[in-house]
Amino acid sequence: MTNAITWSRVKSPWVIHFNSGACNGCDIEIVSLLTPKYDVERFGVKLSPSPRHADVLLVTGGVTKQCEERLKRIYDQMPEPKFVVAIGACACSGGVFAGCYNVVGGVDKVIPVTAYIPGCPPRPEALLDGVVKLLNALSPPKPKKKSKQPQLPKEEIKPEVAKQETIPPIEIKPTVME
Amino acid sequence: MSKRNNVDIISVIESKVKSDIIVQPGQLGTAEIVTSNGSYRDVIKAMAEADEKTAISAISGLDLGQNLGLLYHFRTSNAFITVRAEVPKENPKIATIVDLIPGATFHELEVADLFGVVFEGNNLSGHFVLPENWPENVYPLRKDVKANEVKLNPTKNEAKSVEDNKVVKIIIGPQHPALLEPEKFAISVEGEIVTKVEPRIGYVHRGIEKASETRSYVQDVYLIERICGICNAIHGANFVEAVEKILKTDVPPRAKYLRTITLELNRLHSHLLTLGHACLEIGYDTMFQYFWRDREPIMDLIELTSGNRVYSSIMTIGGVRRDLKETDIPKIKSTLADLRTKIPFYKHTYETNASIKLRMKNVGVLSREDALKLSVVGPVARGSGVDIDVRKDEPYEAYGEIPFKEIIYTEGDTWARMNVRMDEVEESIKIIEYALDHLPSGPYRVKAPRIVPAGEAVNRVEAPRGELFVYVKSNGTANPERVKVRTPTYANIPAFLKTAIGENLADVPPNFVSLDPCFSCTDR
Amino acid sequence: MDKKRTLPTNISRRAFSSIFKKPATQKYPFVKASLADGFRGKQVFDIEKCISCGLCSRDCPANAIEMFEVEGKKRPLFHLDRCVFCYQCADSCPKNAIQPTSIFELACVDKSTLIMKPVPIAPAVKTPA
Repeated sequence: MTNAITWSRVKSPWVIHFNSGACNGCDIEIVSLLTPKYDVERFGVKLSPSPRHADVLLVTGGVTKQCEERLKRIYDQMPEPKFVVAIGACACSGGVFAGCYNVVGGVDKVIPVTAYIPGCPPRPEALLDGVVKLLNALSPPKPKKKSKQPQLPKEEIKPEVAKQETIPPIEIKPTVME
Repeated sequence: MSKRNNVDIISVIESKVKSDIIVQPGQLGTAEIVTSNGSYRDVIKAMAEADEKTAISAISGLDLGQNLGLLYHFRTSNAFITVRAEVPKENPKIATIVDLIPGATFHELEVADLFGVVFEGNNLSGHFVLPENWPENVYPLRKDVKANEVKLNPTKNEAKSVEDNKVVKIIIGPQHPALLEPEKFAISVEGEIVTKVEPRIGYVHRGIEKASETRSYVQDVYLIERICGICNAIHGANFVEAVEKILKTDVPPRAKYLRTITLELNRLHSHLLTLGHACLEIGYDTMFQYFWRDREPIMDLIELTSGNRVYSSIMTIGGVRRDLKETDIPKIKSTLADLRTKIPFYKHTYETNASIKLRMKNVGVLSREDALKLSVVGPVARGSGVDIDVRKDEPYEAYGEIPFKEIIYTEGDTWARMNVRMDEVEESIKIIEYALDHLPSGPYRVKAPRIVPAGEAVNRVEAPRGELFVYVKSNGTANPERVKVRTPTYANIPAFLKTAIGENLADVPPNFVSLDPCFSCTDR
Repeated sequence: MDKKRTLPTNISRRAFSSIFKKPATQKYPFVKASLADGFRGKQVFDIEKCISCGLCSRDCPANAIEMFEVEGKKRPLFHLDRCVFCYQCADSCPKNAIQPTSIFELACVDKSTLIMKPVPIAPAVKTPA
């Protein structure tokens, strides 16, 4: 039964989008996903009107202090299991606005984040790539021939990213530059 | 429709207001008028009576140490006047000008919130752009407040009082499937008819103006550009032009043409976005998909000319950052020619399609007098018969050399505003083609110093949504002293508050989208 | 003129003819994304050209470059989760040590993989070009 539920969640995740103080760049790229050129509905992704029906929360924007509480409330309204994707440089870490007086600086300071998609704004293909990576991480280990998950084209770029030495992340406090 | 009248506003002011003013021509626009002892009200009254197109562009607040400065920026038919007044910090009270110029309401409320000036006659309980739990008496744009030292009060959940039974308040809240951005509108309805609209803005207020004071000019270009993702190129161009005015740099002609091409590509994508979004709001999904499908080649062109689909980031102080290759020009022209063949279909649909006509005609009518009184800008004004367009009134970049039409419709309803945008798409295509055919050769960038000498400048440009205004003050260091941006949607929201009243609730979405709201611009 | 005034024949004719036209969808990720030349993707840093001036770090609008000590010299370390890919660092660099690539698929589940450390010089190892 759990397998069936996970299978249906992975085949057709319902997303909800929340703009927590973004410049609109990432939001128009998210709406572009629904348009004919990228067509995210091929993967079964649907834009849900209410957080109570959604599986995945797409957050854009470095969270403003006004939106912080609303974001928490929306996250609480989503039923388990739920996943959060932080889209854009601002949602990952505050971006250009880190240090501004009304910006918290990154979604992971407010709610737990499952996936990060950097970029300013990330291309719709990068968003698709992020969604597919998230779905791949969620789907239970199955024999390859049964899984119909779209596999990313084999490109030499992937090993390069993995080869970068992972050092302990340096804490960059969002200080204001003098 | 009035032609541009030739009223010499400065001589009118000098003749009507005898004392307590100093006129400084050529400063901060056509002239700066330094006032004292409340004479600013007489100056504004004289301007409003002499020219019906006198409208407020912005009110900039300044922290001058002992005093707080207020700069009232006005545009008239053929001039741009700045009126300066000062109030002491210990007693920052000043009389409002809302009785003379109703469109100044929002501007005064913002200065009150961010600087602590008290406008007698225009007060709001609570905050306007700042969050509700912002600490009292902490005014972020004053120099003594540090951005990372402000601690917010804990939120309290207060029960709101219940009002009259017949009036139902519908909250179109921060998270809504129709809205791309978080803003709260409390719409009071009686039955189906809207009686009042109360906005609460400030959800996207990031504090960009304060942040720009602690970063260098080079970094600020990218920060100011990110006020809005949709009209990003124009924000960058506006700021860069203002700094170039202080530096007195001569930008090479090729750079001006390249900037114009980028700005018009930006306008194209923005108008197609709004046209599609408006159809989505009325439920006409097919047109939404068609408009956005036709918008994708324009995004590819922006990527071709600058390296990124949305943020072109090619504006820099002294010119542009990258050149246009000769081999790219045929591709740009063929894409634009393709788009041009699709426009007759869209125009025909707007003329004949019953759904669009029913949902958009006679919805949200803004009369010409209201448009003038509320100082609206952009397609909202041009849809109501007011002929203002900064590209024609005060040409910048290469617009003085490129012929194009100014689009005016007189009906004043949603349908007229959307048609203004549709026709501007056609004009933008013509402007880009003319610029490509007449592109001058030569350098595309000159070196600019990092340290800007002390001075101030104002600049205004025509963003896709209307007149965009910036005021930059420099103090001889590598960081600016004050940057004030007034975005077009900020000036247009009062128009929506007026046109929604008396209409059906179902007419609110198309009416709202027709003014092309961009809240990241509004809040900064 | 159209006889059927009640039906939106304009749209229905268009919609019907779209069946026979090429689809507008680009089936990413089964086909590669088509990018323009000069696309601003992830940076690549040539450590041999770097003179440790620190101009890239000073001019970065997002404060995403940190001067990190590698073998006694300060080199730029890129925080790609803060980077806005404006390439002001490349403009400011006097030696053109930072160049764009077309890599844009940077999504990850662990934020620490978004830190691009300047790779130290070793005798037989060249920096990834």
